[in-house]
Amino acid sequence: MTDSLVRDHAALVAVVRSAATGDEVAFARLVADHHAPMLRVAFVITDDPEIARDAVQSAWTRAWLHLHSLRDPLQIRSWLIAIAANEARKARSRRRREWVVDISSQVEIDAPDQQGDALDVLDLRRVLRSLSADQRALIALRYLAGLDSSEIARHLGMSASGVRSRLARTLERIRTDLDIPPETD
Amino acid sequence: MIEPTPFERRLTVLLGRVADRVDTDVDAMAVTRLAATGALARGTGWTQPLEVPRAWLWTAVALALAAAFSAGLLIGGSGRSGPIVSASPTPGPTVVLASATVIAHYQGFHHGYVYVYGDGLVLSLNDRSGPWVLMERRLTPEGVDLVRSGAVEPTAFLDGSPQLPDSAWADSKVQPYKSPESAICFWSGASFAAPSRALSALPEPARALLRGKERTYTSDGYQRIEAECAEVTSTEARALAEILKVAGVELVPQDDGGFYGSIAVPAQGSTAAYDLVVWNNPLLPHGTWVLWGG
Repeated sequence: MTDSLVRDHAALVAVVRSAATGDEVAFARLVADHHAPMLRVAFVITDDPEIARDAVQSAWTRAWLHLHSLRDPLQIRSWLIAIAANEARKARSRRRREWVVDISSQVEIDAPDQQGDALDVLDLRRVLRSLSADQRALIALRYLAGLDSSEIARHLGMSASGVRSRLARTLERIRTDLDIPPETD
Repeated sequence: MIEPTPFERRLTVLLGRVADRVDTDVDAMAVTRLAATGALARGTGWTQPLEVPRAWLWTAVALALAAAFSAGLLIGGSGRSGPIVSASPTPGPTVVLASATVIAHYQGFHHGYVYVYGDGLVLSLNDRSGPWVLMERRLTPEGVDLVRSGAVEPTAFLDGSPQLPDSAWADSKVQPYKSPESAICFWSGASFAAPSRALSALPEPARALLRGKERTYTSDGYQRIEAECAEVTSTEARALAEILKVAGVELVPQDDGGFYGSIAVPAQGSTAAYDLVVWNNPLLPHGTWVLWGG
């Protein structure tokens, strides 16, 4: 481990510990650093920016209440993202609005060379909407937040093998729904 | 480390583009200030306008509780050290509370909570997989003995049903619990507001319904607090909900079957208004409710 990494880790531990004691400046640093990835994960799960924001706000409340219970401060990122995912999952299950995607506005905001991507994004959103909130949470945690199956398992109270098998089934479902042929490699 | 497949790499890119659709700008200090809410810590409360966006109000309630907890103001909060997350079931000694005896209970952050009562009633709320409602099952005296002896841990009722002999179940069907009574509580700014002070902000039919029903409760859960609320039957709680809805109050349902909603109340000597939260807490058989459980 390099000196700078040690310093970074020490600083992070100090921030988390200070925030856990009610230090507002330290807590604000956590908000500044982690609000965006939490909101992005929550949005993929809920497909609704307002529900996602509510979910992340609720996640910060939980974080404030329970930060002192986080045993390893270096796990703060995955801990916060998992809380946001959990709140988003619950919020999505509670509030079953009509899911409407404005196709025209989404294609328009993309540059011409990205329009193929935009259509893929629309297809993916359509497929995501057909998944359960649990499945979307797993996909978002793994492929958007980059948590590995052990981290997901630890925070969601599942086994790592259970996470992997559910992810595999969900990936297969997405691949089938998107009409992508299986990979042979 | 397993290399991602081309499909997984493509999925990662597209998920990133999906997530780009949400605006992630945040004023971290504003969030935190609201979180800690200096006004809440200073205890401005009832007589002061609370000029925060309505959507943030409920967060402020929770954070005020956290602040009070940190300050040792809450029952059971001071003197407790280390994690308060239950890593394992915490049956503890048998405690006799209001009208029912809790023989075992469990609470786990992001997991949920379970109460097993001496008469065989088992109440559980699974915060991990849902359904996010309070559910009930019933044990026979034999089943109660299995829990009391420690052969069956309360957490076993949270993730499905424990493998028990048929003779241990009076009714193994899991169904929503309908509490016969509720505590109607009020929150303003930094603290609970006694019904006697809050009633004037309510429509007359609500005042008539709640008047003379004050009782002091100690909530259960991670943060135990004392609050003076109004005790009503479930029928009266539903009537109150209807009265508030007619008055234009938006009610938000809660996991335990309760609800909350906020009323903008003009502050004395000011053109500003503050928010009064009306909070319906269905009572558990041992005479209280769980605050931020699970």
